[in-house]
Amino acid sequence: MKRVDATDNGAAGPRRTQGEGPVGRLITLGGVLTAAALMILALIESTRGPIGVDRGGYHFESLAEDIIPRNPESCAALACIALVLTPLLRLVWIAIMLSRSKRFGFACAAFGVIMILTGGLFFLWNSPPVR
Amino acid sequence: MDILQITELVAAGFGAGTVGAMLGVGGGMIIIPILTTAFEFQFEHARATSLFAVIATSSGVAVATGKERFGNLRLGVLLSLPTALVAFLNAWLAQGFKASVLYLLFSVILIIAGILMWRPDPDERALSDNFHNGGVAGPFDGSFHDPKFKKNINYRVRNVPAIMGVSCIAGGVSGLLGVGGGVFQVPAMAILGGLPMRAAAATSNFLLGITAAASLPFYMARGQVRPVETAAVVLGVLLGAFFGSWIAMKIHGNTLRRLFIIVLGALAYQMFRKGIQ
Repeated sequence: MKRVDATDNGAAGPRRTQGEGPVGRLITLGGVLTAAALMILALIESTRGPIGVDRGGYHFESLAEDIIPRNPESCAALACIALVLTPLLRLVWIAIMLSRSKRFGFACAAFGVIMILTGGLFFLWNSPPVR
Repeated sequence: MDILQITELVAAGFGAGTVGAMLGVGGGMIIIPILTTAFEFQFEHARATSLFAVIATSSGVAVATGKERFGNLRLGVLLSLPTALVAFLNAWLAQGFKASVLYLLFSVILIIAGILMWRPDPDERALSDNFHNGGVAGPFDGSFHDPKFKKNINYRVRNVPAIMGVSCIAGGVSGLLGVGGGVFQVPAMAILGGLPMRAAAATSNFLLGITAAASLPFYMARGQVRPVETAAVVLGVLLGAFFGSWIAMKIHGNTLRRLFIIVLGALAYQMFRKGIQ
């Protein structure tokens, strides 16, 4: 805790809340646009014929065999992964930014969340398929 | 999937995104009942689709409003650690629940959300400038420029442990049922923490995306995602969120909010019926 400094508006109060900066916004925008583009592509592809998977849900391990998606389900699955990775990458940037501004406690919290998210993704890739 | 099915799913997502953005709630409370009743999704598929929609909305809103710095990043990062952990654990535990139990829990959450939404927004002026000159700045106190009142708003954050407790409950609900949890977090931050509504909503929005991303890998690993249908719904939600944010400026919120609560009641009844069947 420290005494309050004058803020940018000249009155006493806390400093203006820290933002993510242009890089943070660019990461988020990139993730959303990539996901949206892949989703549109998947929807266009899906109208061309029936999807060759039963209606029980997609199994993400199929992506490893089809890394350049040629079917709509893989393309949409890649969009889903882009969406899940967006908050993770955003958080990595925020943790870096907090470390640079010597907010090490908050940076550690951010890295903790990154560990949880990465752990989840690790679980995703290493879990046996449940069909 | 044919054009008609895609159009129907995009329209459902658009409706949920619009109403969600207009009322400041995540689309999950609307999407899950629509998908399970109108599109005959199983609960686990609807839950995963809803969580993707939550991430899309959270990221879209962050892009649109990130420059304004309404959100309290330090508070958001601190809250995200226990919230994501609880969501992660609950997504793991969720596999042991029967669909009927989840439907019943969902109907209870809809009723609680309706009760929380019944009270009008607290007066922004009363809450917005609670930082008195000459005070001592805490680690979470913040400041932003409010374009509505055209002035800098300084605020103190109180009761962080209490906000953290409510945020953990929201994370648990999110991991288990696939809703965002903002309907719990925003009032907790505004009423318990003293954050201005704008700051509370932006901070909650930051948390929603992380919470959803923490629980989704479990559902993805268990084959509970229908990607093409999810793509259609998420695109609709994204478009609806932009449209809803625009239209929210023109319509009086409280009347709409009360009408929506009646809809929530009807959806809760539908989910309850599915649960006891």
